[in-house]
Amino acid sequence: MGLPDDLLEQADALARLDDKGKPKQANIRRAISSAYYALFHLLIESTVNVLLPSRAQALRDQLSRSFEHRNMLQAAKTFAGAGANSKDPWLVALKPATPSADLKDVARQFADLQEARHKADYAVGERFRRSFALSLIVMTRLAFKKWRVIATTPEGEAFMLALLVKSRS
Amino acid sequence: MIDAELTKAREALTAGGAPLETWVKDVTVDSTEDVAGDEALVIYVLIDAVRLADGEALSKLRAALQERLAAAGVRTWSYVRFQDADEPSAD
Repeated sequence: MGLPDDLLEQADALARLDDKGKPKQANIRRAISSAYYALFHLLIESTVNVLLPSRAQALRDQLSRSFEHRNMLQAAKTFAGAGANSKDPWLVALKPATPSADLKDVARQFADLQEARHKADYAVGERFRRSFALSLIVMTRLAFKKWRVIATTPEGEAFMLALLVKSRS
Repeated sequence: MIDAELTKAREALTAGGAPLETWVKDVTVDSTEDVAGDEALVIYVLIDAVRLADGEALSKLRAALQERLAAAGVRTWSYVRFQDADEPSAD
């Protein structure tokens, strides 16, 4: 298995630690963060595979490092939403007229994960339940399955471009 | 702005609307500032624990919630959090 699948497996293992008692917040927080990075790296890996088919490692590493979390969130919100809520004409232009339900679901999962990961990493006063982490993980697993079908379609390619290219707004 | 959206969202999801799935035990809506610095809504959905393993059911419910919000004219982005209705609070 590659890094994305390993991270998702790690997220699941962390969320199930302390199974008999109250889970440690540190484990739940790291589970949420790992689930986010699992989908983050899956999307990047797909994009790099499409743009750099020769698999030159140095170029792949450079391209992988050029993705920005915030830019990816804006792309995900645009593709998952009704469209009217995006302020960025570049993203709106890239979005298919009628994105599939599966693409919208993957995009929404990315947005939900990024928000959860941000809170899990930085909102020290917030408490997280194990069931919240487990629900994120099971939905991320489904997003993986859907994405692996969508990634080779025109709408998948449009989403990858939106994730990568910096907003011009 | 966010208060008006919050009210609309609460009415759409919790007050007087068509019932959601039978395994949904409670829905509450709150506001937040998200990672991008935008105002957003957070929808907390308490469900039967058995559904936590069913990603497809959760995904469909999330889409249904979003459709209901859109139909009610809610334009603010919303995040969804599923949790087991019987799990003790993490506090």
